[in-house]
Amino acid sequence: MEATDLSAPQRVAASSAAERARLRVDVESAARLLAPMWPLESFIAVNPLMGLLELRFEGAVREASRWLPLTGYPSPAFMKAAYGEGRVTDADLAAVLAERHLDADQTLPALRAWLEHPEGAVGPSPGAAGELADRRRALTTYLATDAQLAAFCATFADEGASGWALGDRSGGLYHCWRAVAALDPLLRCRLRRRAARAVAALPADPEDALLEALVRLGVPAEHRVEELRRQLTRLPGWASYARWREEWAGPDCTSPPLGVLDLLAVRMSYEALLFDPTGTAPGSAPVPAEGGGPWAGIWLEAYERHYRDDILGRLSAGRGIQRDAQPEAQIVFCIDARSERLRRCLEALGPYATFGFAGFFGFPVAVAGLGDRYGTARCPVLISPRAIVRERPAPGRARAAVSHLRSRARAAAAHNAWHVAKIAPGAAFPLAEALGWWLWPAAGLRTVWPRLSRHSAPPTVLDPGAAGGLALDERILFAENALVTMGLVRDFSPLVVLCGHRGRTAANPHASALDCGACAGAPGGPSARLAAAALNEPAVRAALVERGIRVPDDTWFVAAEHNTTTDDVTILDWHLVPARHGARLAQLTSDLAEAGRRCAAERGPSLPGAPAVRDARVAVAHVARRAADWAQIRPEWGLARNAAFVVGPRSLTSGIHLEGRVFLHSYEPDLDPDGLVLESILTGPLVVAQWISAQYYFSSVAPEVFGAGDKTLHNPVGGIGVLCGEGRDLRVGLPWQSVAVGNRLYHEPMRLLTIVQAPLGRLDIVIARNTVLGQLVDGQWLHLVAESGDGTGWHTRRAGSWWPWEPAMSCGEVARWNWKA
Amino acid sequence: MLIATLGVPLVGAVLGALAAESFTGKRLLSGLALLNLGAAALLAVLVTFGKPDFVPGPWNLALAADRLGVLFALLAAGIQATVLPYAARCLDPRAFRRFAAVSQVLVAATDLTGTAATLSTLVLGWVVASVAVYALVAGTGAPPGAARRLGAAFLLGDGALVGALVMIWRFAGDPSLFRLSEAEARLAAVRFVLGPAVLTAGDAVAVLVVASAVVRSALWPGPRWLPSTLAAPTPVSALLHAGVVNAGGFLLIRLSPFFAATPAASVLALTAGLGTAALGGVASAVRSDVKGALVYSTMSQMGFMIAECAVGAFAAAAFHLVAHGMYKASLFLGSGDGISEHVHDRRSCAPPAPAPNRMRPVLACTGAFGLLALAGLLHPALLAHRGGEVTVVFAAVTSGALLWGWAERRQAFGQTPWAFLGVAVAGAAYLLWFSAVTGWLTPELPAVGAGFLSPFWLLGALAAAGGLAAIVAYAGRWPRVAARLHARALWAAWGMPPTRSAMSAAKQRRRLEVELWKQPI
Repeated sequence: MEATDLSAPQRVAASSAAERARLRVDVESAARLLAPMWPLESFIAVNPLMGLLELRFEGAVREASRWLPLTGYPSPAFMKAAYGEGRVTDADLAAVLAERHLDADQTLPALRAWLEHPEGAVGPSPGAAGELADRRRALTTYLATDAQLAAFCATFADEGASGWALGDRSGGLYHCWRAVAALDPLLRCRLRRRAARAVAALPADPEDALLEALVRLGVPAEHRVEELRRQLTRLPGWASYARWREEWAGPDCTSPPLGVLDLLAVRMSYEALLFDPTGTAPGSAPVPAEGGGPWAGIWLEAYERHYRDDILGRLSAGRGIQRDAQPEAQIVFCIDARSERLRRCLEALGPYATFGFAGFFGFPVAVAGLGDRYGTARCPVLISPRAIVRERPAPGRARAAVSHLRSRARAAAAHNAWHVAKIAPGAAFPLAEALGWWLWPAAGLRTVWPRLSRHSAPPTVLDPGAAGGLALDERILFAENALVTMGLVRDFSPLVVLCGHRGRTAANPHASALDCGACAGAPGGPSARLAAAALNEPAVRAALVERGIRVPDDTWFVAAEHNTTTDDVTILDWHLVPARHGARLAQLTSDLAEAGRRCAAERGPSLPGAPAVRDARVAVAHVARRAADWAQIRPEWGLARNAAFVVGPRSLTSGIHLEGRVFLHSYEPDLDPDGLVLESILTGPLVVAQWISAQYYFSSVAPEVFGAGDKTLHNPVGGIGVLCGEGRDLRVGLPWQSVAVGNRLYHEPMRLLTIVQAPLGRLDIVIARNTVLGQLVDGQWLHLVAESGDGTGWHTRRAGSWWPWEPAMSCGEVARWNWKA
Repeated sequence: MLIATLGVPLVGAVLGALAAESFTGKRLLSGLALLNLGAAALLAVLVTFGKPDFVPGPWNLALAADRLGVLFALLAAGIQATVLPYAARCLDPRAFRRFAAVSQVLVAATDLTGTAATLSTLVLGWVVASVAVYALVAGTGAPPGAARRLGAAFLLGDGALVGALVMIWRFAGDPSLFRLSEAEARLAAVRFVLGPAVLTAGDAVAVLVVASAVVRSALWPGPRWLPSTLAAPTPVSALLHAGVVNAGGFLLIRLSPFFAATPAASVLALTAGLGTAALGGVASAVRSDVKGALVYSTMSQMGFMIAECAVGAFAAAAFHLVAHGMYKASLFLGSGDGISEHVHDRRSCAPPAPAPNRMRPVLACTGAFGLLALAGLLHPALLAHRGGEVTVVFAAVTSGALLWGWAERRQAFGQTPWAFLGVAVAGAAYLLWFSAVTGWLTPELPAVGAGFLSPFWLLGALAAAGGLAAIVAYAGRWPRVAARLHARALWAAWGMPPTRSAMSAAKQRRRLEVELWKQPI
């Protein structure tokens, strides 16, 4: 197999504009197989198949399994265990079969036989491996090409993590690669002396290069998208990151411009140089996988149905709890499933009303902390920030702020000094000798006595109206939207707490996965602070009165932050709270602390390695230690086992133990006759929740492809992501330890169950108005259940219409499952 | 006490194999690791103030504690005391069980190597440690390729050492490690005539020992086994980088009498050492992944240490061996901080301005000369051992580099006096501690024979490296040249996977699946 002479006539001289345009379209449609991957600086859970939304769930999974080694459904072994435990029963299966008009008696044996199906019925071997399997050298070339390209991507995308970085990268990946490709040992080893000439003959423009490679490899036009897709699946991690950089990073992003087209151009140029074009016949369609099939889908649906019957049964049974007329305080939490526990524990402690709302509290801004060089977005990634709000020293505390800034600059300079000395010739050796004696005792201390570093930041203010921030009418608009959406427009308590959340951990590359998803994978405290500041502003309040929302003068909005790893709640901006609220706030703080302790005691035992003693104090101490422990790979379970999204008033769920598995969004159907609020909930927070649910689902059922692998092997690359072990491709999704213990899944892989309390007609209108929502609901990406509130009971949506809910199990069985689940 | 140092990890190994999964078992194991550290520390005190402990055993196996050996044992125990509780929380129960048992065997083997009194005891400890390392990497979920590469490399290195042992046995019996000069004299009398060349048995032994050390310390041109251990979990890496790779330096110090009459062996070690120091340093600067940079940094540091051994600066090499072990293990355990540190740093400060700041060289030079002057005050103590001058110059270069890095961040520029103070205090503390530890070690180190090169070779190498670095920095003005230099370094740092091999197609397809998709989860 010799590389051809590069002056051969196949070479395209200059591609026409039409050809290039068509190529760009093809690349875009090929890239839709892979979801964008956000850098780990702000981890965003995404639906890994979000580009294939219009194919419906089954179709998208089938399409993905053509290209990637996955079945997309829980494995037979998993289902067998669930079946054995009664987590999914014959009754559930029969109900699903009845819905599909299949005969239960005939089909059940086949379904049970599927459970014995061997593991590893995974799709075709990826890429061109299938058709080139008989060509030994081709395989090693594929591997070597992937390895070289991945290494080059890691170098290209790096932003200051390495001591000696690539020079000017504004020309893109292909340009940088072409400049030095003649030195690549792979090409030199294969092409020998011809390498330099062959590389010099490559077109200067990536689009030309890609077109030329496609021609030289003989890819027919009708198979072009498939070939490009196959090329992308060779390095799915870097390709996903490139998708983020191109489409989601925004124009201000400073990280090097890694593009999908560039990636393809480099990869296909390698192949065009290394393969003999006459011998290969790439482009034939891969064989569809046979692993998934209809049985896996039926099992999954029965498994989901079991949970649906269980939770709807509980919601129906728990009806009629009315809360006191005027609560002592109203606390707004993020919709995050982990808030459910804290809300339940807090409500049990006193006359408190809680609400659920997306954790950015409706203010789409970027926030720059004190001394930060740039702002980071604090709103769902579906919205782009409208302004940058800068944290400023509190009035009269400028001196403390200056000393804080100085110490921060000192730390950064010392860190840089260390970086420079590490790579300066000769300096690394005494550096190691001098530091080793300090670092090791510190490491020992950190291991046996873990403590989180205390940030002693000076008091500051986050004023959304400050220069560069939001204009007054924007503040009024966002404040009004927030209050109306959460259904808090009258009966204000003297204290209204806006509680964001974050997860503080140590030495955890995936730390931002535990932060607030509605704040773009960042801590939710700043959002709460600026929303509270806007809602306390007299001008905003006056304007709200004009719009029919009268916030009493003695009502004060307070910001707080829930640390989900330890379940303690910190009140932020104490210094701004008027003295008259002091006693009330102190009482609330102590109740929040007690609620946090109960919360920690509740979830403590589920953490692997936790002491078996059922004592609240032990559990609280354990979670605190765990959060600070740098050796800990599971500081908390995060959103594992998340299962449902409830849109409705708190009275629907209050007092019901939902095990921290449910996203709760407040919604008052009576306040929203035209369905606008419902629409904003179902097109914003619901999509975010579906992304989270799908991320957990696919990281559980296809950990090799959509999971980040073993945490103990993680190797961070800059601020971008992690490599795993010797692998050079970025790993997307969640680490295995976030969804499983040992080889047993902890997360229950299910599609999101959405439970809405709203008139069915209103839901129909909203679904009809929004294409994406329609695709999610009617494409089986999630299950929708609704109740009008007029006593007609629950209805499930199937194939575009509503059906009354009938549980597959008797009530006795439901009750029995309540305590087991 | 010597028996306790060796026995406690063995008890721990048994306990680890039996009860590592239970909560109490983990507690007990951590306690035992601390006990081992205490025993080693007590042994160090005894060795400092009393006579060396001597424990004879069967088949000419014997143990004796001297300062160098105890320092080595202390390092192993200290590393284990932190890594074991770390691993208990980090690894899944089954992996931890294996880790607990095997790592304790590794510690015991390291102690055996360190406190061996006869050559056969040392080689026994060395080989057992190799087997334990292989079991550690192979048994904690690393893909088979990584373990295979490590196994092949260790087979080569240990084969060389065993070959040296056989040769010594044949011509000089099994010598005590404290009377190696006699054995060396006998070996030097055995001559082989190979055509025109005349080779003594001493030469052969010296070269074999150097080869063994080069392999264990992962030096160029030996096999590249260290980068493939990235496939092992973090605690295993910490243990490898802190307590396994540096055994090469220990071996060279212990067996240094064999080099007395063989300058070729020293030249070999110096070349391998300096070559690796340079290559590893460049590779670690180019890698953008945290662990990859750490791996190559370790190789570079090991190169420096072996070069120190080659010029007879044994005390400095031993100091480096211990301090670097602690340094690198801490960095590995904290590698998960990579993302947050990077982000915090990027948010805090603007990237350094492209135009060089004139103050940087001034600051750096002032700092370097300041430290030299400071060292002048401490002069007599520092020159008490071979290579002291070299250490002082390297330290001065380091302080210059630190100040240079400080000055790159403009925001902190106004606080430069603090940086000067910090570097001065840290530099003085370092030099004093260095002279204290090396002063403690020197009386019991082997004498430096005539076969060793002068320590000033290291200074020459430093000057050459500085010159090359300056050229690279200056080449930044010609982007094409800079890009080509960078590309060379880049491909060297990532290495190339094998492209031509004789594997069968089926085997390769399996490998394709294993390596790309079926990564262990």
